[in-house]
Amino acid sequence: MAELRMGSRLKAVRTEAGLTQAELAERVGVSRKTVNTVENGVFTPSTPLALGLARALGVRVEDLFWLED
Amino acid sequence: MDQQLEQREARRETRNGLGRFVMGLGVSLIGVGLLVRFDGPASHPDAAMWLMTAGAQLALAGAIWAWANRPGEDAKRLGASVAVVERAHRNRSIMLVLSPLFMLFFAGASLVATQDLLAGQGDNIDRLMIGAVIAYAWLGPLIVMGRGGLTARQRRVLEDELTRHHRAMAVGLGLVTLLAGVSGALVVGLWRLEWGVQALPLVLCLAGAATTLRFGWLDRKAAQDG
Repeated sequence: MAELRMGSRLKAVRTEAGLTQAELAERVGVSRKTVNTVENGVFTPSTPLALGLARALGVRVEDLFWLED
Repeated sequence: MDQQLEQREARRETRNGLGRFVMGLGVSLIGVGLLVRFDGPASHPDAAMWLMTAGAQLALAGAIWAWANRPGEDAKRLGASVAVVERAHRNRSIMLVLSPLFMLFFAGASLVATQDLLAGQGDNIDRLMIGAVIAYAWLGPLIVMGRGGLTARQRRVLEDELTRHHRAMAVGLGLVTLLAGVSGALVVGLWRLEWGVQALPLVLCLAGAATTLRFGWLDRKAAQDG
């Protein structure tokens, strides 16, 4: 089975919302490093974390993450 | 206001840490005193008594100082503020870098200590060295696993999804190092028994250092923007 790869617009959406990584991290209850690695595509978030990020930014999870072909 | 509170909390944490350090130093002195007291025919009761008395006084003073600077309402109010979280991460990183350095020192010392003990010429200082190697080999991985004497507040700000992910990777490397090291020590031990035993403290240190450094490296990399 081919490996699933995830695309992300987290950085763009966070910047549009006028939040720093640290502020978003505080809202979600994770470290700034976690937000940083998700934005850089180094770390793939779990479903609860992806949902938490979407809720903190006031968008749908599909607006933040999607499966890349 | 928040900044003042954070500065006050940082100073309190420093004083609390100093108290714990002095307490640890006192307990260590008591331990050394006991070793000197019961070090066979070469024991020195006067020196041992002096060490144990000084150790007990230091331990008591440190405990009182740490208790007087224990976390209060300010610490609870600050909770998971950004500065506190960042500071907790930075402190953990410093400990993760320092513990392998201590390990390296004790690993070198343990080679001589093990040699003396195997030759039947070891004393309590040699046993202390072996104990220190074991303690330091455990220390790094315990910090990585979030069991290094963290308070509930520190655990709350240090534990998240990324930490657990890094931990799994670091412990995996540590396990492979341990398996490879013990396998090697076993094979060498079948050939030359004393070499096999001598290799064990080094294997412990290597596995501990591999776990600690891998976690520290991943943690550092995660902080870099890119």
